[in-house]
Amino acid sequence: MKYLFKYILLAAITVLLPSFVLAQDSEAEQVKKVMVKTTKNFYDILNDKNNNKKIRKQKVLNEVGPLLDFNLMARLALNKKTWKSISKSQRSKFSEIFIARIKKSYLDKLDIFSDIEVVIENSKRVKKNRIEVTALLKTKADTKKLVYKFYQTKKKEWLIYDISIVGVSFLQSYRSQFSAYLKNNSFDDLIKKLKDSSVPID
Amino acid sequence: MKFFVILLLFISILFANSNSLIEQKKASKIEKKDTLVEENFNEFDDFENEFSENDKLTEEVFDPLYSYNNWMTGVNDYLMINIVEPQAKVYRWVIPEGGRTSVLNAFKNLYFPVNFANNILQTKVENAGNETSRFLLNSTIGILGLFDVADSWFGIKPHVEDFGQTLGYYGAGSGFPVVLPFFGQRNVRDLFGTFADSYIDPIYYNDWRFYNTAEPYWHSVLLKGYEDFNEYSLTPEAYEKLTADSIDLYPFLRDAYEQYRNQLIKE
Repeated sequence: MKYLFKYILLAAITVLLPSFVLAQDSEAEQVKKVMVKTTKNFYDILNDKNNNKKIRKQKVLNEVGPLLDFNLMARLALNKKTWKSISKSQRSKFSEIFIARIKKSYLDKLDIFSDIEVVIENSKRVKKNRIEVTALLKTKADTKKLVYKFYQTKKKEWLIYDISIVGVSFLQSYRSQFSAYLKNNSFDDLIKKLKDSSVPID
Repeated sequence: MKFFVILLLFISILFANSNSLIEQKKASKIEKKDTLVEENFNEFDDFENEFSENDKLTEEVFDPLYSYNNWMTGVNDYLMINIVEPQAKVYRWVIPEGGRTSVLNAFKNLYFPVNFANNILQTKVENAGNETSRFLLNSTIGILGLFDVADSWFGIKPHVEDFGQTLGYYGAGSGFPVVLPFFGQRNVRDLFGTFADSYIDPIYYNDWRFYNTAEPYWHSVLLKGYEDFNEYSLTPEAYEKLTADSIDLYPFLRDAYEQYRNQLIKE
């Protein structure tokens, strides 16, 4: 009886442990698959000349948008110290302007992608709740490394919170610029500046 | 009577228990709420930590040439948009893309001594070997490096290293930022690196050397400029598009340059 119990336990471990480990890997694999599919859809939309530019932009946003956690991006564009020091209304105003701005600047750059090939390479779990998907950006001059950084939300979804190209993090660039700007200017100045210097739409 | 006493005792215990149970529930609710808040903080802290290292560098950035750098970045920006980009348009029209790619390849091929030496200095022996194969293949089959056959036919990828990276690899800090006219963002470490590399870099003229591409020194600088210009022509309008979102151009480029170089050093 004692032995039977031992064997059952051993059997359970041998069956469950690998499947647990595999399940962890399969999640990274799943995220990669989503990126491969999204990239394909992205280029399909871009190359579909039946639609005009405006419709293409909207379609791209609908395709890519759900994968990005815009609110978290806005939260992380400022460091903790700044975030604590501003009022609630300033927070929501900043988020609103920042999100609109990054959406617009991304959509205005879609033209660049017609000369670039994006190849999703691999995915890796870097932490329990973080997965990084690496892609190659093949331009005519060279190949650059692109990393999509995913985190797992409380609802167990995987969303992108940062993107880095050749080691330059999108959020880090904003953090650095904002904190440099806020050294000599007030937060309201920043909001005003963000509004004024909005990227022109073509 | 005894029965009643026991019953009463039992009921009181039950109540006492349930009372403490309610209290416990309340407490756990409060506790839960607190941990929830804390969890939120921890969650953001977790993200914050990913940026803290670089945040620190920006916060404490040592930039004694700030005014000059800021000004020079403005000048370079003006030159890029008003001179380089229009010229690149003409250049793109005159020379087909294949030709420009070959020029780029030929320049890259010339970096062999620099790449080789710095791979060795960083004890990346295998990469140094790959660089040697690349140089031999591209210089012969690839016709003086015009075609990167090592990569396209043999799948041997480049491993570009310079002395700035070597210094960084051994823990040297970046010093402070310096913006060069035309060539743009650099830092003291990488400038020193370029200076050291120039002794073996074939494009820079050195009297004592048996291999030289350009005769007087200033021709080398022109060649370097042409190299950058040619590379730029392959990614039309990239500069304008990428800098369009910057809040403040100089800090943006300064930070991006440091992040980029740190990544290269790590790899």
